[in-house]
Amino acid sequence: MHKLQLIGCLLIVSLLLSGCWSKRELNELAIVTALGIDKVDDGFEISIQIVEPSEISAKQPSAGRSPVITYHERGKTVFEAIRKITTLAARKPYFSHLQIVVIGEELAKSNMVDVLDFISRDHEFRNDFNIIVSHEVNAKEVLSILTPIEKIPASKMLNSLQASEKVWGSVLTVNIDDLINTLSNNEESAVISAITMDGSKSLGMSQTNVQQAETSTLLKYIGLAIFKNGQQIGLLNAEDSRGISYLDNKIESTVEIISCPKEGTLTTEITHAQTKIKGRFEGNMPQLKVQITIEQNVGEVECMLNLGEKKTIEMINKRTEELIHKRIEHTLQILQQDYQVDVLSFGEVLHRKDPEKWKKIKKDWLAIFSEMPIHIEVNVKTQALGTMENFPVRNEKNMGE
Amino acid sequence: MNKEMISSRQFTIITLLCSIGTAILIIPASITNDVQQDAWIVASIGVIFSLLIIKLFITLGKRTPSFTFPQAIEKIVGKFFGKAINLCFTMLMLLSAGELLYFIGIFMKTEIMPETPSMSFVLLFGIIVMYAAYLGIEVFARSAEILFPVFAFIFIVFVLCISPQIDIGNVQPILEASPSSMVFSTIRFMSLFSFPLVILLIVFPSNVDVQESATKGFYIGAMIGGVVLVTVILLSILVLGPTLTSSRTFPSYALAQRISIGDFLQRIEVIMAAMWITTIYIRMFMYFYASVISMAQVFNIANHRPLIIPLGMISMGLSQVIHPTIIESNLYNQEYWPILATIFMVLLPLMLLIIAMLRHIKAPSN
Amino acid sequence: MLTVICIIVASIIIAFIFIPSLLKIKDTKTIVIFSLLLLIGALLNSLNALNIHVPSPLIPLVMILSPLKKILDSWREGGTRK
Repeated sequence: MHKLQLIGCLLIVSLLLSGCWSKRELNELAIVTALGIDKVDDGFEISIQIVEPSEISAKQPSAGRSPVITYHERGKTVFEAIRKITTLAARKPYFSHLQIVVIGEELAKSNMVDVLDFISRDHEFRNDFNIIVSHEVNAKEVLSILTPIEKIPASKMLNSLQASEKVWGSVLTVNIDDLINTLSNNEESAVISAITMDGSKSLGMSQTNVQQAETSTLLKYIGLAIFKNGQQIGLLNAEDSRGISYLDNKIESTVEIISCPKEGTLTTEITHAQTKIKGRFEGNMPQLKVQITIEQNVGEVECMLNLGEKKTIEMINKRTEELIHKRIEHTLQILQQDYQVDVLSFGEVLHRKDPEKWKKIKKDWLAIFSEMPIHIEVNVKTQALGTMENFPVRNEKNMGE
Repeated sequence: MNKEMISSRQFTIITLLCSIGTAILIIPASITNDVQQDAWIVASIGVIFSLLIIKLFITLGKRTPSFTFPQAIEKIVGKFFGKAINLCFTMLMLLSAGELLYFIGIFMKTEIMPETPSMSFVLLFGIIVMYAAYLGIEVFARSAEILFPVFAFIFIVFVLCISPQIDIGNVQPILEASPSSMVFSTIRFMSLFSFPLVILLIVFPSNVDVQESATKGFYIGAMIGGVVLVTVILLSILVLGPTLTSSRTFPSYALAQRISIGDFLQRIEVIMAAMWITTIYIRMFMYFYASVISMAQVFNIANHRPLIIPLGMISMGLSQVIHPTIIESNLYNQEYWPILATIFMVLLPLMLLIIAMLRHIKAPSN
Repeated sequence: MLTVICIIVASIIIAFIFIPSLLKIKDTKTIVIFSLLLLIGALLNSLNALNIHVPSPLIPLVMILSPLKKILDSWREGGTRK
């Protein structure tokens, strides 16, 4: 009798284990990998990129169907548009595996802060996706391009973003938490990587784009977009974007090209870079100092140089220092004078240094920032020459020319 | 009737988990809102001052070692006032139990399953707590003993996994908050951390087998609980930054979402949530059990068991009406709960202790 | 409506489980309190199930405490002004 009761109890309890109230099984999900938001006259147009599960699986040969499907819908708000998508999508979109959010150029230039509210408020959105803006195309078009190698275009966008941040430095990965943090700390200023489309749009949308060795339409990062008051106010070119990366201590590895004494160039590989921003107050005037320590290798020599000499190495160090110094100076000038934005939170450095004095200058910070001189100190060390010393083809005879 | 007994080790574990309770979920946001990056300092000060509060509870408990807290109240201030105080105390405990059920419901509803009615979480949780109360404090203590290693393991994993993302700059500049806001935040912290430990007088010292080591356990449990809370607050600020910590509804959960080790150990936030579900269960049981025991005391009912289901039903019902929205809940926990907790959980024991001293009520020396 | 019936049926079952054993030991006081609390519980949950708004029990509590809070607030502001 006792046993029967126990079994009965277990059976009843097992009813509770069958699932959750709001359960959604895999076959009911449309996994969204990228979300694009554009501004249109009466609100927003959103585009979502959904993976086609059968095309992604490695086993099955492709049936010629596109690996992703992109849907577009307009709505007064982002949330409305997302819910309205169910009228045209086969399944309800599921955002927990979102990899990238593309903000359309027009939206970025008007005001994107309101859009971020939804993204960070909704529970299905996590915080591990990256945010980028589109340049000269709208987000809808960016999401329509098919890419080779990575079947899911969102993965391609994410991977090249991460890879070029790591080895080149002209882009920055920015997730929603970073963005909200920087937008709230400064005068709603931030930097976000910008993507553009290279080639014909209509070709990029068709499967033929990925069927040839030479891809006709490509997605490509071009640099960093600068935001102030939640609006995009400018776009930095690759050089200045790398300047920003240096200043933000985000450079892991990159290359620098310096000119040789006579002619030709020498390319160095930065293997380690560390930037320290130091702030202090002199009286009530804030002072900032940028200290960059760099370790590099010689990567490519296209001129006559005897790398065996210590003098040459010193020359390389000095020229790299000058080059980076110049670039940082230029970048700072753009930030201070052209845009007057403190995207790198220099103010926060001063705030940490002396909260009392910071309070006094906080109101006029942007004005002070645009005027103040920033001392730059670059320190380069060349450690290795690559896998050989002097290139044997360029021998003494050639050198004497 | 055999008196139920728990070991001093079990008591330490209950103290530890009970002191963490709901605080782990709501404290980072509420105090960071006020003192920004200095929240962890406030919490550390709070933990240290909490030792005094615990000293008070222990001194009071030892005056009447063989009585539960409600019995002790009646013994110290007399039958009439005792019953009045006990009735208020019962109400407060019942409300708090309902509130904790509300927390479980709103947490699940906000972060994990928004379409599910919160009553379904409340019902499942309420049944467990009622069942535990029915089986008694001994069984409950054993369940706490089983849950503790799970909690400790998850907590250690949590700390280890999130620590690579620390950014030291987030806590600077140190001590920027004004002294008065720090004082108020400290009280706010203590009102959610150590003040509620007064309910442990229900089992201490009357149901604890070795009083001396349980006294030590009271301090140690609360200390470790405090360290856990300070760690969570510190990590929230270091990883999320003060702005996000104060704007997120549940910063600890947002923190757990951040965990990502080598792109494969990630999306484990729901497992991390087991941490606060455990501690909320422990604190909720204590509130609920206290309300049952003191209700029984008010009406001189020898066997408290029949009261469990009706009171459980009431607290489940309360959980649905107690806060119409999360805004009221935040306001209540920020502004009114600290006052209420100070009155009932600090001033009341203090008053009881003074009266007990004046009336020379103390443990029979043997 | 179905939920309300469930609540009432559950309450009756609970009453049938507890009351007979209490009757045996003639503990009328417990029976009265038990039934009263059960009634309150069933009523509260039924009202919730019927979506009838029940004011939060914290409202009177908050009303009692608000003068005290005002005093504290004035202290706090005084503290920050300094």
